[in-house]
Amino acid sequence: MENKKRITKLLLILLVVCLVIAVLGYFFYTFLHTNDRGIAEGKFAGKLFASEDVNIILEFSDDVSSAQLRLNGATGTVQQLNITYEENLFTGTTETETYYFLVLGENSLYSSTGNYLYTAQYSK
Amino acid sequence: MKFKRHIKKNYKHYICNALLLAFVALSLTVFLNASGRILEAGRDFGLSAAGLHCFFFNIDGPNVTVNNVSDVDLISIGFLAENSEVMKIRLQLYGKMLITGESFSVYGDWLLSKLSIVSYIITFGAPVVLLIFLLGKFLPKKVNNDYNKDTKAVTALKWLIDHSYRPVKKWMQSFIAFVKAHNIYFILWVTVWVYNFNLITIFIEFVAYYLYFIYSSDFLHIYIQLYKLLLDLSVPIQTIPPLLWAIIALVIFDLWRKHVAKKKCEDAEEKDEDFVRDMPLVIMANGTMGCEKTTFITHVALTKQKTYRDDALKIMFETDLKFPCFPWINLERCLKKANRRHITFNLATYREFCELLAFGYSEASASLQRCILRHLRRRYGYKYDNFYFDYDVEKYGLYYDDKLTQINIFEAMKTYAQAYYVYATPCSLIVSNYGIRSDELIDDVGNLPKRDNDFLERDSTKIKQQSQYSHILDQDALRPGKKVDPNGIYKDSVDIGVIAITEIGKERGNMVTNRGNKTDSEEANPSNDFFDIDLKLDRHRSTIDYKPFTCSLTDDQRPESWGADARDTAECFGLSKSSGYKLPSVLFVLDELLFRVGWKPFSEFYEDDRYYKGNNGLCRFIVKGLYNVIYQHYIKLFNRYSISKITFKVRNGALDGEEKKQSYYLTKKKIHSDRFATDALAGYYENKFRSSKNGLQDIPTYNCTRATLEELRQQHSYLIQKLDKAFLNAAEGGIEENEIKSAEGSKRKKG
Repeated sequence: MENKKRITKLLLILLVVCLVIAVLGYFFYTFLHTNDRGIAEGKFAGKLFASEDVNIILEFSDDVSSAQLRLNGATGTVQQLNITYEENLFTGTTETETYYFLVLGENSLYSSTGNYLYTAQYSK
Repeated sequence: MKFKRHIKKNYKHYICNALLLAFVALSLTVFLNASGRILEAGRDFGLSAAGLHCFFFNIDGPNVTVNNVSDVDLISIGFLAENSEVMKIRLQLYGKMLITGESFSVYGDWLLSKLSIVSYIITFGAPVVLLIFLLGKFLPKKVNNDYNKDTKAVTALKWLIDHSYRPVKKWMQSFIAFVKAHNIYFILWVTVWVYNFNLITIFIEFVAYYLYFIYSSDFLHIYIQLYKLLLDLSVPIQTIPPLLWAIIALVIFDLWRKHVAKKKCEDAEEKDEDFVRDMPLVIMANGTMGCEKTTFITHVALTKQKTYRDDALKIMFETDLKFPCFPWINLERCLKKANRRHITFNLATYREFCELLAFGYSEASASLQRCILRHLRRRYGYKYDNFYFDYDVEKYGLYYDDKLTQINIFEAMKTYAQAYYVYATPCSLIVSNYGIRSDELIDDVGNLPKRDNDFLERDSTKIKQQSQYSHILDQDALRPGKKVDPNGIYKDSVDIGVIAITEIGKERGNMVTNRGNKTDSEEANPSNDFFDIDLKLDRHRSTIDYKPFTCSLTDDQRPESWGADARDTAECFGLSKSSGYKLPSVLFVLDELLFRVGWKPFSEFYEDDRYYKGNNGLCRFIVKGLYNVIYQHYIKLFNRYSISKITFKVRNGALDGEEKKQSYYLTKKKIHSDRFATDALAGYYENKFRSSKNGLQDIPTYNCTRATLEELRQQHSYLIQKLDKAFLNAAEGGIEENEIKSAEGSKRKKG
């Protein structure tokens, strides 16, 4: 009888341990696969370019209210994308700068420089 | 022939060298990037060191590179992004994705895909197990009496094991022993792999950032250091195959859980130490038979012994700090020499030595001083020309004032010497009326000996070499009055120590049982030996620096069994509840589950199999072999890490006043490692039963449930004797009366 009670208790403990591991595993798995799933499924509120290297050319309009984006083969690294201004907004020259950004919808782009986040429209 | 012999003799060297070459070859091919990273780390270190140098001399330093990401082509494993900004965005995304149905379903799919392996095993294994069970249950069992013969299948299996597993195991053991004996190979292998896995780079990069941080206090680039660390670690993470990782993870988990379990045992020990420090000098454990009274006092005795050693060392250090420039090592060496010659052997003789030094110092006459020094030299091996071990009295002074009292160096020496005796004496401090084994290790390289009192770390195979047994308690040593043997040589030998007396009530008795004893009797008895007085004066014979170094631990079933006068000095611990020995459940849940779940089917099968078969069948061989692995593994864990919590009610010896509940922890490794025998008085019974001509099987049995008069009389029972007197004698008397009456009746008739 004593043995049966102990086995039942051990089984319960094992169940709780498994549940805890499963919950922790969920947090870890979701963290590890944030990027992959953003790209692979495209169903989330947020998507991040991550699983492939892309070179993006971002063309701003004169009033900076919109921009055109072109994906141009693989040159950048994960999440760090080389964005080439074809025309500088103020000087009219071509410059290269590094931006980090996050795609949030079908056509919207979050770009981050420092602490500042702003949105731009793009089309492939 | 010579070459073959050479190869045979040295082939392990060749194997080790071949392995080393293989590892180096891997360094030059697969792990080529390691050299690039080491060069980069060296550059980072050099520039950081140069930067620090320039900082100290206030000149413009070079541009440090420790915060640059490596140019070497390493594959990121995706834990961290290269830039903290990107990481920030990623964490934001993670936060958004964390509680979404989509994330749950994706994780669920992944989890199910992994669990499918388990389901394959279950779906394949369940019918097999069921089949074996049904066959075992319903197949007709053949009886055989081929005692200890192996079946053909077992013979074949044993042959296979003897020619595969055992030689491999034996060779591996010999190879490991060889590598241990020639550890240069192991060092070289480890060095190559430390290099391959960028661990040297990681260390150099750490030092480089540390040097840079000293003068920059740059917290902002800690992230990039983490990223670089992960990048370097990506090499071992991605190179080591998953199966090997799983084994490494299991080994690490096993080490971790054992560490945690040991920590729990140590915590329990610490609580016990606090408990025994707060304990009064006399305790009495009470409870029914088998409630672990003697186990409890034995555990307390071992813990108390440890606290005495620790307390003595503390007194030594405190005394040392009062006179920090006194050459205490000279005093210790002198005491050690005197102890070896059996000149000093108890507290009084240690005090005598120090008092002689003080007396010599205080003596004004130079000739008398010389005389005392000569005596000290001859008797104690004292080799100094002054009375204070070459201590510079002029420079450092003779007195110490702690704002409570002023003591001189000789009083400090006396305290130190007594504490040194308690600390350094190599024998057990326990004196008992039953044998207690302790295994304190003492390591002495000629200076202050170092004690290892960690009972939890003892190797059970070295018990014989490491054991010290408790001293035999000559109870005359505790009797200031009449003694059983007035000429006994150990009657004045117990001044300090842990005195453990089991069955004290049976030894000392109480007022009722001692009623016949007379105080003026010629022979010693509990009424005239003044044992109780000695118990009350315990601390007067054993105090060092206001701390007593003796205590009395006793047990008996009932507190009332011991006379009230002595018991009044004690606290009575009424043992009632024990949790039983348990492992920390969460850590060893699978091990215990396998052991417990497997026990019933194994024992049922084994009992059945042993009943029908005298030979060794394949099924028995496999089942027993498999369960034995589980059993051995679990039992060793259980014995090593299990703890039992006992709860008891504490009352004062007068048995009035409030009861308070307290608990104490018993660690199995400490108390059941052949510490004491629960049948300490078995020697008497041994002689009794060896001389007997009959055993249990020879005793006659009843013929039915209602015993005959003859069977009842074989009991030699007081009750049956009374019944015999009451019924049968009366019946015999009744016959006689009848006879008398009938005779009287016949006389009347005749008359």
